[in-house]
Amino acid sequence: MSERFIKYAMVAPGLLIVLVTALYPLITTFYLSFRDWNLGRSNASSALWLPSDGISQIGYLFDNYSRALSDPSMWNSAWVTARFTVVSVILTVGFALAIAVLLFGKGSVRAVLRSMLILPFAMSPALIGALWRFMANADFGVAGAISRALHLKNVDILGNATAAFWLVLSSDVWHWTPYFALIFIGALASVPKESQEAAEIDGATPLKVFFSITLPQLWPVLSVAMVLKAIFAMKVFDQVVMITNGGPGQATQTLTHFIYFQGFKYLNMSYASAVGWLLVIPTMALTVLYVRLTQRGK
Amino acid sequence: MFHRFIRLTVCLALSASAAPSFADATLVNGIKSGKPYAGQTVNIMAVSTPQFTALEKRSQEFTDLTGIQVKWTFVPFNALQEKVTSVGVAANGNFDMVNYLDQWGASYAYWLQPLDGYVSRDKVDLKDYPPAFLQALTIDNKLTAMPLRSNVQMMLYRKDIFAKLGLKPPATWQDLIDDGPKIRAAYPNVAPLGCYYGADGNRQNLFAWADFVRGAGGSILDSKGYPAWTSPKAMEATRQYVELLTKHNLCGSGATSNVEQDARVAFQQGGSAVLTIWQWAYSAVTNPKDSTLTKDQVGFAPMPAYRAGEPPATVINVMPVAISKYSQHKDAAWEFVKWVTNPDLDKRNAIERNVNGFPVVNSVVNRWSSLTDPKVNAANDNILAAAAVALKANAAPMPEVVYWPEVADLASNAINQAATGGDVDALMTEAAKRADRVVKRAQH
Repeated sequence: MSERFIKYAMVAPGLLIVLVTALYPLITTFYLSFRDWNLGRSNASSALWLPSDGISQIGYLFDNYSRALSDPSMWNSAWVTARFTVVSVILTVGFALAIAVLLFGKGSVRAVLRSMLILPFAMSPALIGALWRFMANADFGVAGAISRALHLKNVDILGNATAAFWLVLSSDVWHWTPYFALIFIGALASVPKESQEAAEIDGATPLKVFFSITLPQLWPVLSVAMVLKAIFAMKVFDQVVMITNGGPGQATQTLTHFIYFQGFKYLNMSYASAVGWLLVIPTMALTVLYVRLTQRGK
Repeated sequence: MFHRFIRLTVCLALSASAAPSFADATLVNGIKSGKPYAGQTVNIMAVSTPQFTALEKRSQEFTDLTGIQVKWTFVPFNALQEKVTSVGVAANGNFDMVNYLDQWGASYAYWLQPLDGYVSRDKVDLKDYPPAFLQALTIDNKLTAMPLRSNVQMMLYRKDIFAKLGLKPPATWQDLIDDGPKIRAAYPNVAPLGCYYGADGNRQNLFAWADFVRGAGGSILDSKGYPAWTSPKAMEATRQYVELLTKHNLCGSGATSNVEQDARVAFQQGGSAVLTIWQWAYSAVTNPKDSTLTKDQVGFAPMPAYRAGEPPATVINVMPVAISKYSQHKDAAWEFVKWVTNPDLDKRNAIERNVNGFPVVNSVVNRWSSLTDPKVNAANDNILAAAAVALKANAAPMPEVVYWPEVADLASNAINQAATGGDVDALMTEAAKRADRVVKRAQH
């Protein structure tokens, strides 16, 4: 058997799984986005436009997309997703880097703390969401209890648009920071000590050494981490469902949550498919960027 | 001798021909005798709840009667809508019967078997069901399912607090508004009312709102299915509903984000004095495993009325059993439906506290005969008699239209934003405009 055949045979099972679980749904939803399908009326989609309707009516084919682009709820979700992504990336990478710097180095205490870092990441996002929701409940949660104990005005975090947004964001940052901290700890180990020592000998302060020597050398890893975190943030779903379910109002309704509601609660399957494909555009752009960054230098 | 033999043969022949007519006599609730569908298996998808687990434990009775096997698949409520929707989309008859929430029924109607033909053929007595329950299951004038888990809104209240303060259970919302400051003064950590204005996609903040709107003489949707909640009466009712929190300070600190379960848990922990909720919750709030409250502390009454002297408007919900059009065993499934909804079983399931070794507390019944039965009420602290009173007054389901979830979420979100300080009129008007577009698109 040729080496080439063996190579492809090894990859084939994984490729088949990817084709079935990723490519097939992508193609199907793309097709559905140009059809009309409400699950509450029929178990099959129908055409939005047929050749017999004439070329002048072809605009109907894009009905779902034009609806999405003129839907204020969709734009609200897009804006929530954009804000969530940017802030989540900044906070996660920032905290992760800080933790990595603090825990980098020898020592048993550092070693124990590094091993504990995996705990938040190992938890299911849905479980994290459930915990966060209970903690934030003004009546019987930890937040309410602390407010009462300190004689503070009890703020209903889940009922306040801004507070609820930051609550969901905090659960996401808490979940991913340890993962990226571990990556950065590994990256710090690859920074040559000689350049840092040389800078210290020349009189550079630790802060100057970090920003002038260490950080630039970490930049390739940081940039990949930021792109990866952006992709994860754009897909956030479990915590949104469990903590606020998109509320209060639509203050925390991300695009994935909006798509889920359109497809599975309102049964507008073709419309959900169209919005899903609109989300593919920025996600694909980030994925291409991620691949380019990881391939750079190879 | 020969003549005697002939006479004996004729007698035997006559007896043999008479025997099928005795065997033809139908069994409980019109179930056919003779086991004509023996050997078939019917599959039912149902919500996970002790009431249905008890029915599953009893299913052998049905199998012994008919020879039909029954397989139950239980699904948590949060996943039920999607699972039942996928049954319809799959269209392969994997499930012969489904159980769902009535408010989703309009979107399932195209693949559910209308039951009117079966009902009239087998002379099933629908008069034993409250009209509101049947109304919830009638889509386009066709009965699409039979009630199996039907609930009525009730008001639960702290008997001990009201007794100590010399107050009567509120008969109107104004009574509760008047009682609020007295409760707050005597019990600073107890909210007069367990409110839930949270909008989490389950639209639970709409139930009490619907009571206000209907009590005021308004309606949620008009006869064409378009939003009618911007009428002067409905708008005034909505303002009053929101003002329970924003003006009259009746609610606890979690009111703007609480959903029904949160409010119930808070009540169970002694956090509120009154809770408006489904009658099934009475057994939960007095269950020592889940609640700090005892039966001596919790009373129940019909919902407060919008105006003094008028009956309260009450929302009902029904989780029925329906037969799929794609079922390969429709007749066998109908036999099961007749059995599982039979009046005797309806009572037994609310009286018996142990079903084949499974301990269960169920206070849900579906029929007038069960609601008013002395034994059923004795086993359930007479809450069902109170539910019957509410049902006879001004009870109705939420709108049953395909687009209700999307329209309802617009109203639910608007109410939630109003509860956090937004302008009620502006928010509800904007919600109505957006809902108009949803309805127009759906009806196109």
